Amino acid sequence: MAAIIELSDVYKSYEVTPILTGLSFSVDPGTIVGYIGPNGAGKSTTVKMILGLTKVDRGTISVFGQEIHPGDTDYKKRIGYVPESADVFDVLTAKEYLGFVGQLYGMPQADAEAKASELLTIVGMKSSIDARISGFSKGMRQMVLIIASLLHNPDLLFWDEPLNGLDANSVLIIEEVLQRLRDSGKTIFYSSHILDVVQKVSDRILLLNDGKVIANGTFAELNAEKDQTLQELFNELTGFSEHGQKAADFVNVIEAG
Amino acid sequence: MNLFKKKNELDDGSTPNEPAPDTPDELLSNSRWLKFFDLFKGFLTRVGVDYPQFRLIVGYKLYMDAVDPSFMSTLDNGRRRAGKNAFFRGLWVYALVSLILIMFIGQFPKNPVVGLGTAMLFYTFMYMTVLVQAFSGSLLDVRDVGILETRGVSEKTRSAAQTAHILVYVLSLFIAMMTVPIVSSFFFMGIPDGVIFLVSSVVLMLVNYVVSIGLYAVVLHFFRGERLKNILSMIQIIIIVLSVFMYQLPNIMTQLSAHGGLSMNRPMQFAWFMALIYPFWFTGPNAWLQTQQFNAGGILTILMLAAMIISYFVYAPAMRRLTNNLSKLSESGEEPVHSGIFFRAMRRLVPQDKDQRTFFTLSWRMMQADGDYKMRVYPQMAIGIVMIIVVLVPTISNSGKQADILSVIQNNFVWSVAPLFCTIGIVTAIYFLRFSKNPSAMKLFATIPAFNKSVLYREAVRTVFVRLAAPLIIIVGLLTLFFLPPWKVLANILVGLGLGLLITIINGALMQGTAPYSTVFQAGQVNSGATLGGVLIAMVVATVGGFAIVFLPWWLTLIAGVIILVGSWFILNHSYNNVHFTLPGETDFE
Repeated sequence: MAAIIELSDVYKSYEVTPILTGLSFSVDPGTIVGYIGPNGAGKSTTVKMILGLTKVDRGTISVFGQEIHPGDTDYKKRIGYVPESADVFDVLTAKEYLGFVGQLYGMPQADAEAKASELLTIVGMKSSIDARISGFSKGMRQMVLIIASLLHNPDLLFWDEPLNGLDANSVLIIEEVLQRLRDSGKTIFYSSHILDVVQKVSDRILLLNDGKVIANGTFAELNAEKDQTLQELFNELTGFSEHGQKAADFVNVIEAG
Repeated sequence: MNLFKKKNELDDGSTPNEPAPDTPDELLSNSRWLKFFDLFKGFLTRVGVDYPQFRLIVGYKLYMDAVDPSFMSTLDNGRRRAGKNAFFRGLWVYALVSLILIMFIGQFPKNPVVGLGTAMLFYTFMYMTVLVQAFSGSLLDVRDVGILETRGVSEKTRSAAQTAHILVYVLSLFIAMMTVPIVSSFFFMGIPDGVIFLVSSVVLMLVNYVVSIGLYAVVLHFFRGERLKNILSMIQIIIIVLSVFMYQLPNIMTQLSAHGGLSMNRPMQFAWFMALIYPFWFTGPNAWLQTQQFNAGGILTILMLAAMIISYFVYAPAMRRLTNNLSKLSESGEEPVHSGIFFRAMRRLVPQDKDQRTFFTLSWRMMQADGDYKMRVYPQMAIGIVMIIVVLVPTISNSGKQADILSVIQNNFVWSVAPLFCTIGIVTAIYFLRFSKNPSAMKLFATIPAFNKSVLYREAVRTVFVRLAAPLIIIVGLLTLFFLPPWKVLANILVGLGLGLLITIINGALMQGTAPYSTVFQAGQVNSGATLGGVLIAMVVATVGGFAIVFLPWWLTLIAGVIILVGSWFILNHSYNNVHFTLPGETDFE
């Protein structure tokens, strides 16, 4: 089966700082890939390059079996994206914003708004359909972003911290939605610092550090009889083991008054 | 669709002049601007723009401007009507202002550099002001790339839509401001001059647009983090402050030209200042046509052509550079905030205890960091300085043709009362204390048991005086050393400071019903009773002070100044003990 995403020896620097240093991986369709790494590892940069928001310095990226170039737009219409920063036109109502997004993907306005209203109702936001997003809580805003990424029934999803601000019930719904979307053949590229959730939902895990993939496999493969959590594995592979000491120092300062 | 339906509590319920769009699709169907852009559909499609997406984006952008309560809120004054864009409703003001320009064109038909040049200069300044108030939000919108280009919108289409969105306002302003001058140029100068002025004005409009793109592109290229935001804020504030002066310019120039029988209604020779002020370049073709000589007209025409050519080649790279660097605006600044000498000195000298120091520092930092506050308050503070010139000019023009101008300026009474003019902006500075970008941050104080609101309010008011009013009063006072002896200057400054503090305290008392930093910036209801009362009181106090300064001997003024200043400081320290405002989040805990 051809990979739905393929990065081959990708390099990227910002000014003189190298961010990605020969990044290579592939993602099969119909899987949930947990894309994790410490801050500054290059996760967001990877997603931006795949979405064409930033150029590759060296290397190739293929999506849906086609190498992508600056200016390509057609493949993006099959992608849904939830960014970490919740950028929306918040002066619009939820229905208006989702109607706008749907139309960008080529949906008729009435269809997009009807579908959006239905989805908002399902997640308990019926009374907010015609309310301005500027008045929404963080969780409500996040739900709008999630719906915006799914409205056009994309084949490939990039979700960056999608559960940010959601209440416990909404988290359960979205986790279940993820599994069902995967089961229906969609591919989800899931990035998060909450490793418990990544461990729970992901079929494969890509661990990025210093611009390179340092672990690539199922959780079971990566764990290989160590009986660790993903968090422990993460710490071990990224070389961070000071959290205990740092926590102790932190509490000592507080209690010193 | 009910034309008279109230959309929100800010509606005044009056009949709109045209149907207000209730929904985006109504705007998309009925917008005259979108129909205008439809004329260019073929051209845009040929150059690679996805026209349906382009139309959708421009339509929604215009709709968002119509429903956004903060868009051009300084024009709106809290009376937004549903679906009506505050900018379009305010255009009549610019049209009215442009009537003044008839005077220049009519008075100087033989001197296009002055007559038409004043119109061009005025238009350019108004353009820059509107740039700050309306366009810059769209130009510097960091959300566009992330929301649009991740959804199959090409950079070309997004950029074209952004340009079109801004051009709506650029063209609207041009039509409002320049129609009258252009028509009057036909009347006063003839058809050939009128046609040339029309073409030159349109070219100036386009060059102004490229200048604004270039300016932002350069700033975004060279700066980042906190410094970038400060520079952008400073540019915007300077433009608005200069526009305050520009509004007075026609009045000033008219009075100056009347003095001494100066006749400027004749062709001018080229002068160096014409090359420095680029709107004057666009009078070159008219000047050349009139004189049939190369001199000013020829040189200015060459400069104008150079501006056109440079703009043509600079536009695309500048726009690209600006867009590529937009993400810098959402980067957090990592450089430390510097505590300047002035702040450190005031923090040491002014607050008398720990609590006062805490809230004095908070208020100082809030004013220092809040660009919206500065954009609204600094121009009002600048009005004080402009008013000095406005009062000075008539005394020069009324002095008679034989009078020595320098002597008239030197001996003018305005220098004695100049520090008092600086109290004009205090009312606005106190009023805008209530606003903040993030009022929910004040919820922190609602969680502190037995929190003393009086100290919070008192130090906020004190900071207005110490950080804004007092330095301006002192600086302007010191500048009058050119015209007055030092002992008189000292006396005037002390009276200015004392009365300025008194005006600050009184306005603080009038507005103590609202917590500082507790409301989002919106259409400022500046004409509320509290602010009108504050302005009246300020005028009375300043007038009494002015009379005292002019008519009393300097030593008596000095003593009075000391007494008022010390007394006012004492009053401030014991003021606002019974404030009753509600902090954000306070009702959450009831």
